[in-house]
Amino acid sequence: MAHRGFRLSVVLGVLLALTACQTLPTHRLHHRVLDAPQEYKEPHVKLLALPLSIKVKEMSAGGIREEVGTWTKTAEGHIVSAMRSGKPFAGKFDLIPLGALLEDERPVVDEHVALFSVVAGSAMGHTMINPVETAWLPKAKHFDYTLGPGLAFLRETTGADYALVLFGEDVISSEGRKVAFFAAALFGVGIPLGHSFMLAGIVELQTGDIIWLNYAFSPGSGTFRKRADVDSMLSELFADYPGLEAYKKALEKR
Amino acid sequence: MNGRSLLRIAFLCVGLAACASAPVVEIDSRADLNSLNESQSRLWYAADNLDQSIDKRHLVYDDAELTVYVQSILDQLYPELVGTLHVELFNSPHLNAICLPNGHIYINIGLLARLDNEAQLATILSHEAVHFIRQHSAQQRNSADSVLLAGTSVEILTGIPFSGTLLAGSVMSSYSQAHENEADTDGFARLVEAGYDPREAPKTFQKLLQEVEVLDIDQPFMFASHPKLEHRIASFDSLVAGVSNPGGRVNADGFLQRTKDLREVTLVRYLDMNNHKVLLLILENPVLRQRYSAHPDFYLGEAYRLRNGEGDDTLATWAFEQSINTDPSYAPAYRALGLLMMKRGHKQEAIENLSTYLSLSPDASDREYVETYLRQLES
Repeated sequence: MAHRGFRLSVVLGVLLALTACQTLPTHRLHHRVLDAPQEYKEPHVKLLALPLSIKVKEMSAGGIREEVGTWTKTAEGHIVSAMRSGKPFAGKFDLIPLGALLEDERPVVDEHVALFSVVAGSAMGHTMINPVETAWLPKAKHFDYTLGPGLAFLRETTGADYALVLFGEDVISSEGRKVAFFAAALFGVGIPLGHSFMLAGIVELQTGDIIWLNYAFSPGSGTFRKRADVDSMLSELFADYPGLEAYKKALEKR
Repeated sequence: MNGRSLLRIAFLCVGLAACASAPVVEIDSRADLNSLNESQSRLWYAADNLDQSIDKRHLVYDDAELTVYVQSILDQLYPELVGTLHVELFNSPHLNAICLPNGHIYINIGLLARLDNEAQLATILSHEAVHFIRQHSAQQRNSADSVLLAGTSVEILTGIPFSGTLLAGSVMSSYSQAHENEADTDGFARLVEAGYDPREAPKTFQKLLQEVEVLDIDQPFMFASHPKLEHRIASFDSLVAGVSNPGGRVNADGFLQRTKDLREVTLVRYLDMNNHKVLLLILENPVLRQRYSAHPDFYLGEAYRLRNGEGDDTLATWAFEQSINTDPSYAPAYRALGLLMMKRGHKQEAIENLSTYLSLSPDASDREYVETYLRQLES
């Protein structure tokens, strides 16, 4: 868990510094979608909503990040409510709620949601962030990250072919951190402040392949604790969905 | 002092003031749980999440009877915190025990298996409980925040990259050791108060030191941030010297009986980890070997096989044969000997032993593999 947090922190740090350098669209599409788009023309009309993986943390004056349970619960409430409204992805797909699971199914789903944050975090680090993206361009062009077929049983039980996984981290600067930030800035020294980050993926249940992946990042101006900020971030996340043509065109130029 | 220096010092003061935390509430009774500060509540929440994660991953050793027994020792030591301090057996052979900020103590089965008696177990439990009572994790969290910010200030003041990080690491390390010393001292006092023989306390750590030396490691996991074991043993010796007429409960027989099955489980774990050093440490000791398993020669043979040094095949063969002589109905020894004979090119002995293994263990999960080996040997 700590390892995953560390890796995501590194990814987020690089993101913050290099978002301006973005040349490809932020989202990624599995190479099968690019190779045979007719098979995936409307692949995700109905998506199964997997459990959210959301954490809201406070950054102390010294930079320690601690999850605040009540804030996380508030954020989950806002995100669930926004997703249920369907507004962020209106006309693009519908979400099917994940019904009751058997006792031995729930851990499998939880493990795959956790796995998603690791695999998608790697995918992001390798293929979505310049200049790393340039080094890994073949991987970005041939995007083929997968969770494996462990969730295939959900296809049988729910009838859905694809699932939506959403991972998010909101780090809110404490008052002490803000004071420290401004004091350090007087000497021309920058210390990190909070941020909000969401990572969404569409997973093919049969294979576990991540068919579509996108992120939204806000360097400190929004928070999951406010419904309006959540709406805004989710809308940004799905604004260009599925973005097949834009992605293909951008790749052709590289 | 110029204006820039004043500004720098002002930053240091403002920064340190900014991260000033509410005082940590120590937990001497259940009533104190209602007074935890925000920082402590957050740590408690994180600890609850960790508990869930451990549970989901099935990392707890599932032996209800043994868990109840260990919990009863903890409850005897701290009757005022019954229902708040909980103990679980962690399914790992490493010598370790931890206490989470929510009062959940995890003691590794490897550590439990290595102890000689209840008094040594009480030494570990009382030490860990002090970490909870004094809320050391909350204290360290607050210190870490101050130290990290002070580190940033030092870097700004000196202009030397990483100087603050080095300072922070050094300060936190000494802070952690102070907590360990406090846990040793307070835990020792509770051990004596509960009527256990205090002379067992230093023996607990001597045992750990022995393993450190055998494994040739700097510090065992349990003491990654702890004082050096030698210092710790000396410290316990001086604590014992301060007790007039030391003596009291040890309860070796009851403890060894209740943890009997656990010891064989840990041997299997060491075997799975290819850790022949610890296996040999245990099994070459005439007292320990009988305590750990009814078939110590089998595990000893496996340890020699894993070590795979010059002459170890011969030693392993001797050990497996000893195991068979002691208990001719013990199937795993025939399997091990059969595989070793196969490796050494002694086909007939390999066939005889593997066949005996299958006849003694007709439902063996590796039956198909063994039958394949037999077909190869017979052809």
